[in-house]
Amino acid sequence: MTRKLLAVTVALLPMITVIACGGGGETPPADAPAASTPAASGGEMIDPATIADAGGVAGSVQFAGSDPELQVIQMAADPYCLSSHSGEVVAQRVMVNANGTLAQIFVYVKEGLEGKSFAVPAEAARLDQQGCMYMPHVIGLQTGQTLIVSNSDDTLHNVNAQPSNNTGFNIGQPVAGMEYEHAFENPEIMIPVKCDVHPWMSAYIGVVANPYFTITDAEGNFSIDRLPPGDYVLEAWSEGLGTQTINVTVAPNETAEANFSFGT
Amino acid sequence: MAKKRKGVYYYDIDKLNFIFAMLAIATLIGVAWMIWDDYAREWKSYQRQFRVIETEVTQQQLADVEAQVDQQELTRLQQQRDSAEESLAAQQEAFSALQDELVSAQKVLDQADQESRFAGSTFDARRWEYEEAAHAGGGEAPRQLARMEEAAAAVAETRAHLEEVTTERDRIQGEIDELLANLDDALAGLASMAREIERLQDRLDDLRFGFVYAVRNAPMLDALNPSLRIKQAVIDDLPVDLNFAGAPRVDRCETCHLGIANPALEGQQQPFAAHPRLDLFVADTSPHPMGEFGCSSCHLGKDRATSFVSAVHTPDSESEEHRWVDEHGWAPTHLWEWPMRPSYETEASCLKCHMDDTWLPDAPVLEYGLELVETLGCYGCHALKRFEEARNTGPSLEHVGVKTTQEWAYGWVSDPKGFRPDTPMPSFFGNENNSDEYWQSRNVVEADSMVAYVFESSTDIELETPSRGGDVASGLQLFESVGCQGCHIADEPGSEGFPTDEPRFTGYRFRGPNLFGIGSKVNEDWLYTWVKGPEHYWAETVMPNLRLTDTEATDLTAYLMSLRQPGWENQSLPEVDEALRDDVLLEYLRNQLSSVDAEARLAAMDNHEKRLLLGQQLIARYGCNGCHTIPGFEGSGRIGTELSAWGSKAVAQLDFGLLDLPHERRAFLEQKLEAPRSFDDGKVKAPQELTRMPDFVLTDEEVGAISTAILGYTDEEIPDSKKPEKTPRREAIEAGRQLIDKYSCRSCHILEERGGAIRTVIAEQGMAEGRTRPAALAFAPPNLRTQGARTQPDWLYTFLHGPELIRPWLSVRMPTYGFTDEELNTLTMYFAAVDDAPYPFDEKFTLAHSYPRDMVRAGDRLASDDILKCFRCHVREGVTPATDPSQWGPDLALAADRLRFEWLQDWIADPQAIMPGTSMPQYFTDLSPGSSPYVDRVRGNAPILDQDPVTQIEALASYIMSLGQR
Repeated sequence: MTRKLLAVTVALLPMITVIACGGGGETPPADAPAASTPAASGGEMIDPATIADAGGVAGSVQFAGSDPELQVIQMAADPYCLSSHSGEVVAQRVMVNANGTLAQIFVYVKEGLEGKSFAVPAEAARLDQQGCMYMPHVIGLQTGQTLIVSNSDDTLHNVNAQPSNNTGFNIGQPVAGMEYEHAFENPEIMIPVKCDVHPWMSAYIGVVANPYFTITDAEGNFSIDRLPPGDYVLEAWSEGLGTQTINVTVAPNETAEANFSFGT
Repeated sequence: MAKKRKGVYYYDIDKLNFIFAMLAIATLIGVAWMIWDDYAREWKSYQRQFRVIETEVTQQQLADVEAQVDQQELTRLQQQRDSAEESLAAQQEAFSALQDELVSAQKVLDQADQESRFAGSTFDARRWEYEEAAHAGGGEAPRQLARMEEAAAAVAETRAHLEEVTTERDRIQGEIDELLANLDDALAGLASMAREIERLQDRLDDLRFGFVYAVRNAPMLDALNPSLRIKQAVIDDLPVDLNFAGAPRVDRCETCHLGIANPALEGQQQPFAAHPRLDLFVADTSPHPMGEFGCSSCHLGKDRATSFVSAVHTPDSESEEHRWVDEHGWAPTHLWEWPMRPSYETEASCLKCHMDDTWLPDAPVLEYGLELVETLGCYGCHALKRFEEARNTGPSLEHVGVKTTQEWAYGWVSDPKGFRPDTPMPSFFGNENNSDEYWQSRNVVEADSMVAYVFESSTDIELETPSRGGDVASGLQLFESVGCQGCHIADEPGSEGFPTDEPRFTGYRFRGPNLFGIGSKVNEDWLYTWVKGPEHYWAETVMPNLRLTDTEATDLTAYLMSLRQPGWENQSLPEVDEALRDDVLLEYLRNQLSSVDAEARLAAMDNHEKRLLLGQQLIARYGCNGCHTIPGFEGSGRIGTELSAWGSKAVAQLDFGLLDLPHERRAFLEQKLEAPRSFDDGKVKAPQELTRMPDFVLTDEEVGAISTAILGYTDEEIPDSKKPEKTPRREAIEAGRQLIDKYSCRSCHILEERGGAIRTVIAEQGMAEGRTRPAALAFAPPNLRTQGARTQPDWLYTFLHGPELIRPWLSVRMPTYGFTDEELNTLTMYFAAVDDAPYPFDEKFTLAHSYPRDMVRAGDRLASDDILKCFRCHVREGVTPATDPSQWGPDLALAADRLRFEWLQDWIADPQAIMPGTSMPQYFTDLSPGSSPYVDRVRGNAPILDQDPVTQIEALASYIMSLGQR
């Protein structure tokens, strides 16, 4: 009887020891941390310069409405502004070219590049204040790209950018030659910029996640190059006339055509 | 082969053996079943499932951490370690020699140290002997002196030796450290990089299902040290109420809700999800850590339970209930007074500790419910904590006779929602228990007598009369610009202009009555007198004085009088059934008199007297004086049940009548709020026995919020240690918040990030004029963020007492409130307390009103039109700038008396940080020394204050503060 009990105890002993010790298996010494995988944040990285069969899209923006009334800006509140222009200055809202097309239309690839990412351009874009007007009035940026806001006027400007999807800024530039750098992290069409001292001053910044954006010229033309072949949605934005989209298919090594037309 | 045993037995042994065998087997099975049943607990299966989930999550975390490791840094550290080890190996001989040297040096040092201490002791002994000898006199002294000096020399000698050998030891140690420095450095770096990884790997090892796991958690053996175990938090000072006895709270919820504190498990399926507000609850860093507050103290349910059903979970919806019945065999647990709160009711529990918090932004439903209780005036009839001192929710009726007519008042009392659907005044007539034919006639009698009493007891006061006809258009323009719309709507509910962005009743813009149809209610003289000075008619009103001129008041009156409800004009008083009135009055007289006396009393009264007496009786019955001041009812008590501990009321004490309702507190309460009189359905009651709670005509959302608030009123006693700490700062803030609510400051101003309701109106108006939204909002009343840090208490006191013009371009006005001294002090203290600013004295404006002259001069240069051009936008000593008024900034000459010097510097440095969206630009984007771009352009670009931005800002602030003083 005693012997039996002993046998059972002996048999159970190692088990009990295991249990009583909490059963914590030895932790293997943490050697070097495992190798990491490269952070894949924005998906496939594309360099427009090296796309083998890149195509493009080009076209123009027509204006079908009646010519808008030109608004003459009253600059009398600031003698400096007044003296920096010899003639009348008109507001840059809807700019109809001599050939009936529209200038200052922001055109960009809205859809079709999902899952692709692009290097942030090294060169900065510049928004200058000249003669109490923004130059240019419409400007495009890639996300993360540096924007330099500079003041060529020897008068007080403040630059009040009021984005809804980005960090804004409101800086004072009271003397000529001042510069301020800023970058927007998120795409946004469009970020309004104004000057509280000169209420007529306004500019618009379009921030796009890809490098495929442009602004129509004095003939109303635009072209976007080095696009990978594929189907895209192109959008044109006009201050005062809203936005329009067009579906385009870009074939390898070919330039597709896309023409917008805005009415009033 | 079984042979019959020999001998004679009384029983058949074989049969008996068989029976015993069967019983033994049955017992064995029974024991095994018992062990298994005891072992196979519901919670263990959850814990096993959770191990799988936690393993996955931990593996993911490990992968993430590993992916984040800086590979370059890792390689560098590894190389450093390897090369350090190599170089150490190369110098192995020298290193060993050094170590040997260190050992012997340490020995010498210890020896020297001992000698030095002995020498010190010897000196002390001899000094004492010398002192004794010298004191005793005699010839012994010189000898002892010599001995002492000898000892002193030994002390000096040994100490010098000690210092010498210590230096030697330190030198050797230094050399060793130098040899090892590189290696130690690398090892420490590697260890810190691997720490989190090691922790996660350890955790993964713990989570492995293996032999050890199986043994630890085997039936019977799991009595020793299982890894599947009940987890509990014991909260001694928040006991569970077990009717007449309190038991310590032992919350075992975490036994199944295993991921409750793990942020990585947010949104997991139940029961493994993390708490949705770890910033507020459960986490050790939150204000309510689980170890201190537990779970059931807020969620209720049965604290010690470890199964789904016994924990008394409560479903949120019927569909959830069906699912629970299928999945868990759920059924309501009777006789447990504290079933878990459904999730939409959880906030009710906040109230027991936060009873003194004025605002509860983290408990929006509870806060809304409490606001409704306040606006609807529930405390007029039901005593309620928090509202002991609350003012009457309805207007005073002391002088109602000069304001409106009996005809209008009769219509109003009969059906208030008919005139104004969003009024907080409830309906007393035409409800579930007083709509039959008899009651239709009786309602006329009752309403008529009550109106008669109120108008009879009303006293006249003098009214002013406008001297000319007002202009409706200018009146409308005033109404839309001076700020009336911060508190008043003037649109029919449901119409196009009626605001939908705020809840009716409690929205800031609903603080005053809706003025829709006001012209059909009040007379012109009353309205003119009222808008000129509301305190004349009603001393306790919270309506402020807008300092209107006579012309403005006339025009505003004309506009308001033009708001009509044609159906409510030219009304007449009803035909009253006099016999019925006699019956009703007799009924009331019999409450106090014998039938004979009552009839005699009735017979002695004329019609007018009967009307008044009945009116008085009815006002007392319906408790009109709970919300209105009515002469003759001063000091009368509340007619309803006290609700301050209603949330703890036993369900058995609630009378559900004949209604088919679940027997739960919430069901009772919701029914009471939705259809107050429905509890009389099917009951036989005398008229005065009927339920008299009026109908507020509430939406489901309103009913839900009020129920949550009332259910939060419990009789639990909470120790102070669990409540928010009462600091003087906190008390100052709470007192201020109560005044802010009382006077509805947030109708116009943003305070503590909420309010500013009038901004919607101003933005719409400005945008209609073609401004952008931010430009339009430049005309809104200021956001009062950092007000306490910004302004001097003296100035704030004076301003609140009698507002002065700061922003002349605003058409909206800061009105004059008749703040008492106490209120003014409370408010100024509140603002300082919110920003933790010095109060009431601040060195900068209390002691030193002068700023250094060179700083002021430098500031003057900087602010001038050559450099920063401050006065392009800011008004300067009354001189307005040439720009559009929407771009103007306050007169800088007001700063000296108004602003705090420190705040002004912060403001100039980064206005956006203080007031996002302000049109004040940031002039100094870089504050590093010497980086300022602003030089003295008049004096050949000479540097100003070494181009240091911080000093330049200080100079600007000094200059601005000096402006008003010159």
